[in-house]
Amino acid sequence: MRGLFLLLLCLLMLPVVPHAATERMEKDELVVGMPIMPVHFNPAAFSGTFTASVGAQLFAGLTRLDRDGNAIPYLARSWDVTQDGLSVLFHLRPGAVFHDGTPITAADVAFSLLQCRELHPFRPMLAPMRDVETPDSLTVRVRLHHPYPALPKVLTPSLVPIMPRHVYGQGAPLPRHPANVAVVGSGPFKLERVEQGKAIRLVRNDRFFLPNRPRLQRLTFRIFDDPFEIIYAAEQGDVDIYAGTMARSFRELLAQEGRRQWKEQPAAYLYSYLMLQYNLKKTPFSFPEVRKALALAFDRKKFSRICRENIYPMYGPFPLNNPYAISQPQPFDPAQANALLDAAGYPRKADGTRFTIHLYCAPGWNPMNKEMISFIQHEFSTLLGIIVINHRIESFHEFCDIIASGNFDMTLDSLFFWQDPAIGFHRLYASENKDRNLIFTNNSGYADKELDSLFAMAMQHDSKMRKKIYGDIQRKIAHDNPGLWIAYHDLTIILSPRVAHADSLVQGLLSPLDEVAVERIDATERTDAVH
Amino acid sequence: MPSTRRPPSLRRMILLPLTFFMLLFLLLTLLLMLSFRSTNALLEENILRRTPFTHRTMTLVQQSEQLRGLLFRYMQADSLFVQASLLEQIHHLLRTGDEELKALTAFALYTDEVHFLRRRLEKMRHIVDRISEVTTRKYELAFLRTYQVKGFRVLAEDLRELSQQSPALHEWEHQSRDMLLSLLLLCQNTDISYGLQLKRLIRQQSEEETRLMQALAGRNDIPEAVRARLHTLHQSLQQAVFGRNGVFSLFEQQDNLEQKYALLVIEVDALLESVSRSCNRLMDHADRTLAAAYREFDARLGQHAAGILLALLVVLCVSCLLYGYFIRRVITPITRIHGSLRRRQEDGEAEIPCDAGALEVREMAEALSLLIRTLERRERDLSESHASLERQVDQRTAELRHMSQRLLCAQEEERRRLAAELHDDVGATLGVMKLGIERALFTLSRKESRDDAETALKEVIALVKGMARQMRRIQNDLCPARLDAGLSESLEWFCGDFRLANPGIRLRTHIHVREDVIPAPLRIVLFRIVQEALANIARHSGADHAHIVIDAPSDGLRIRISDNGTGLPDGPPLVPSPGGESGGRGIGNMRERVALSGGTFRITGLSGRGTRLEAHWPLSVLRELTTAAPSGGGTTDRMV
Repeated sequence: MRGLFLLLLCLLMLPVVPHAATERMEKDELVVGMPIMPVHFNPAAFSGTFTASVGAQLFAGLTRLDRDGNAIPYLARSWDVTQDGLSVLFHLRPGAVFHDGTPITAADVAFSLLQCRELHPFRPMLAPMRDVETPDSLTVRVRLHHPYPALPKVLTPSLVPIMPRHVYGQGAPLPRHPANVAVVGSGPFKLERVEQGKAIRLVRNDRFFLPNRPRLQRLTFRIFDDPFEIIYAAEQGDVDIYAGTMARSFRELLAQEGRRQWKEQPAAYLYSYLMLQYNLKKTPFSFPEVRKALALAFDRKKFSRICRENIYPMYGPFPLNNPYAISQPQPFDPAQANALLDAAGYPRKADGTRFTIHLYCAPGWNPMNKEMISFIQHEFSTLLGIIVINHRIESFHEFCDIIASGNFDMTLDSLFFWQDPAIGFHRLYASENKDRNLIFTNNSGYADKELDSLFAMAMQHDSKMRKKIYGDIQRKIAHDNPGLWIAYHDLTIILSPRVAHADSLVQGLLSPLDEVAVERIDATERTDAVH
Repeated sequence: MPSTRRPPSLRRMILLPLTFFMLLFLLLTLLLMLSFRSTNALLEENILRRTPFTHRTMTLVQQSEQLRGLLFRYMQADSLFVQASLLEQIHHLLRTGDEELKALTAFALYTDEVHFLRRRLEKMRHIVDRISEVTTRKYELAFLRTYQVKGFRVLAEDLRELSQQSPALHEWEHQSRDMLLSLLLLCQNTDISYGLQLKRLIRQQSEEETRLMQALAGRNDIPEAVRARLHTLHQSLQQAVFGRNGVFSLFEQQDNLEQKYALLVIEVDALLESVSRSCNRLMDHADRTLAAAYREFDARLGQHAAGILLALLVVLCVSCLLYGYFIRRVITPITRIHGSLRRRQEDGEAEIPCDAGALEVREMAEALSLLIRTLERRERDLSESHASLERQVDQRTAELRHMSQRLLCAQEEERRRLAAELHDDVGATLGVMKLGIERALFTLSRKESRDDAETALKEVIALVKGMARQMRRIQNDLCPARLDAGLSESLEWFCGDFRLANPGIRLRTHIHVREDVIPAPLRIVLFRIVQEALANIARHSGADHAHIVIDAPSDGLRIRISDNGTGLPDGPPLVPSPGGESGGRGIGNMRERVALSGGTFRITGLSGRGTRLEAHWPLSVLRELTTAAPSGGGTTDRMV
């Protein structure tokens, strides 16, 4: 059934209002619709799409990704790797300054790298880093425990922002530092003001280190309470870009009725996927049989059929569109799943149920969440006799607190794999990243020494050898089932017709928007769709 | 032999009834097979065909109920994904139901009802598709209402923002907000009458809002941008009310959809009820058919039961008779034989019955009886033989005791004879010699004639010589001095003396045996036999011829002595008899010597025709004597 798909197409018949609202926008202002107000804007201290989206505009990184997913110079104009691979020398762009006019030095870079190695939610990605040296004010030498070819890919602004030491080096620790909100970065935009719950307004950084960039004068992240509100605003021309799970459907909606079509653009190298994460420290998920049973009783193909055509079944920890993924299909076998639960000491009670699981999900910025949860509840209830209680959570902050404190049984989330497994994968399963009281880390509490050593090995080899090692890792994790990998899906952003030069957004809004521009819409292209 | 009828053999006794029993059994089997064939036909018709039909019908009933439940859950579900999941299950169930119906069609039973069901199921599929469409549309409408409601918040925010730019807009903003409130109410699932009232109210509000907007649009004191924005928001409001998917349209669509849905629910209920009734009718048909089949089966089984029971009874009777017959002819005779054997074991007196039972039993009894008789006879013979042997042993023991006494007597007699001879001959001679010597000494002492003394001494010398002869004779009597030189020489010497002493008897000797063939212990026996026999001949026979032959035939050593004397008195030949004296003392001595040396002694003679004695030693005795005593005859002689 393609009910949801048809349903979304019905949105085509929504009233289309004239685009006079566009005139409300300032010239060269781009409005991004966001359904959640980020906790703050520093990707070094908090992981999250919206934090990273804003952070990538406020902060600069040493590198950024090109269209092929390769690291290219950004704040670093170049870098050299020694022959033994144990040292990487970054050469900074001369004349680069922070938003407050302070020059960016090697010390700031070293400070940022070391802070990230210690405090970043994805800190396993910087584990190979042994030390950072600053031979001069524009040179940074990163010394490594072992060769780490993926390091330049890690140092993008959405992951490792370069923070001013004179700001972040004093006051509160990084996770609670006020500059995480009142950001002083070196990105293409600087913070103008934050309208709590309404908008994050950015203006052009006139002293940006790349010439003639950014093209935009203003960049506004408008906060909505719901994706439908974003679409409603987009209908009125009040939003230019939207990135989210249903972006493709929304584009199909918006690009009709004779208007200039909204553009769809893939957000590459993020490998978004849906996953049920378990809390292995609590029963019943401390029992491997229970985890295995749930994996056996979830019909991923059916889920993909029901959801959308661009959602694909996922049977292991790697999305199958990732180059390191191996195929390891999981059979759908409810009978065996029930037998496993019986063996694990969870027989069906007189009312046919076995036990109850408490599910916590981020509040509904994803319109599909309710449907997915209902499906999970229905399937586990009818097939296994497991009652899944979905707890209502009012805000994203509350959700973060619950997950970070470990007071959950299971959580459903859409995760990024990022451009390298060392970034988006190690963080979820490396034992050094558990018990951090921080969301989007190893919140399941999974730990395995053999796996840790495999992680270390995987980071130091070329792609061929890495593929073999990651194959072993996938098999091991899939066997242990620390979570239930449901499906992976294409991640796209949709852009209004007036957005230009968006092809630099290789990772969607997680890429710097310095090259993007907006064009004035010709009045003749507007259509009044009132009937 | 009496002409009695030969009894039947055990094999025939078993084979004949067994054959009869098998025939009966075959007959019974045939009867049962016919019966089973008849009942099997019934079973095949009713069980093998109708039972699967019933089973499938039951499955269909279950599926029908399952479908009802799934449809109910489907219509109640508030999640599109859950509905999709349930819809997959419903379609799967419909496919399964269709397959079941196809299978039922193949049975060619109750075809009308099955076809009716298939049509119902097909209709159900269509209705499910329509329900799916309606529920999807309902969900879409709900989705759109949600979208509208959430959009109203943005619109309200825009209204507020615009209103803040000019106080002249406040009334219009209030009117628009009232209108949004009414729209929000209409977006809820409200009843139709209240909804229609709301629609009327919204129309009024919309007209008022339009009037206000038009009034504001003509005012020059309001900036153009604000007026443009006012127009935009007015358009948005109008679109939200009257647009193709505006609230009014959604309300009407929702109302139509609810009506459609209600009709579909009724249709589904009716159809499911119809399917259920049809399935139940099928079940009733199948039940009735099975019940009829059961009754028919019961009746047919009743018909066959009497025949089967009779046959079983016959088989039982025949079995009993055969068993009784077998007991009488086999078991009982064997038991009787066993009883007889036990009685014989207890008191030794019981006849083994051989006149009853099967041939083999009789023959076995006869053989057993014969065996017992033979054993008893052998036992008697053995007892007698044993008694005879005991008697012989007693006899031999007596003979040996007697012989020992005789030996002691002979020894004492020999001593007495020797003492007498010493006293009579040697003593007297020594006395005379003493007197002669004293007389000679006296003579010499008186100086009388020397001649007298010499005469007296010469007499003494003569006496000494005579005594010496006597001493030699005694010595020869005790032990022939020449025997050490050889038996032949000793016999020649003795026979020479016999001839000298008995010139009237012509004695011939023939020794045809080598000296070394004769064991040393036998030499003195042979010598004593010759000595004793010749003494008897000289003393008692009155014969003038005697003949001695010693030879060695193939079976041993033999001595024969014969004469032509008066012979023995008439009577049976003098065979060795224990303690017998028929042969006189000399003969007894000879017999004893021969017997003690292991030989046989025999003496024959008729009155007037001489006497003939013969002693014989077999080779075994010769070998035994040769190995036992190879040394000199003195010791041997003493032994014998």
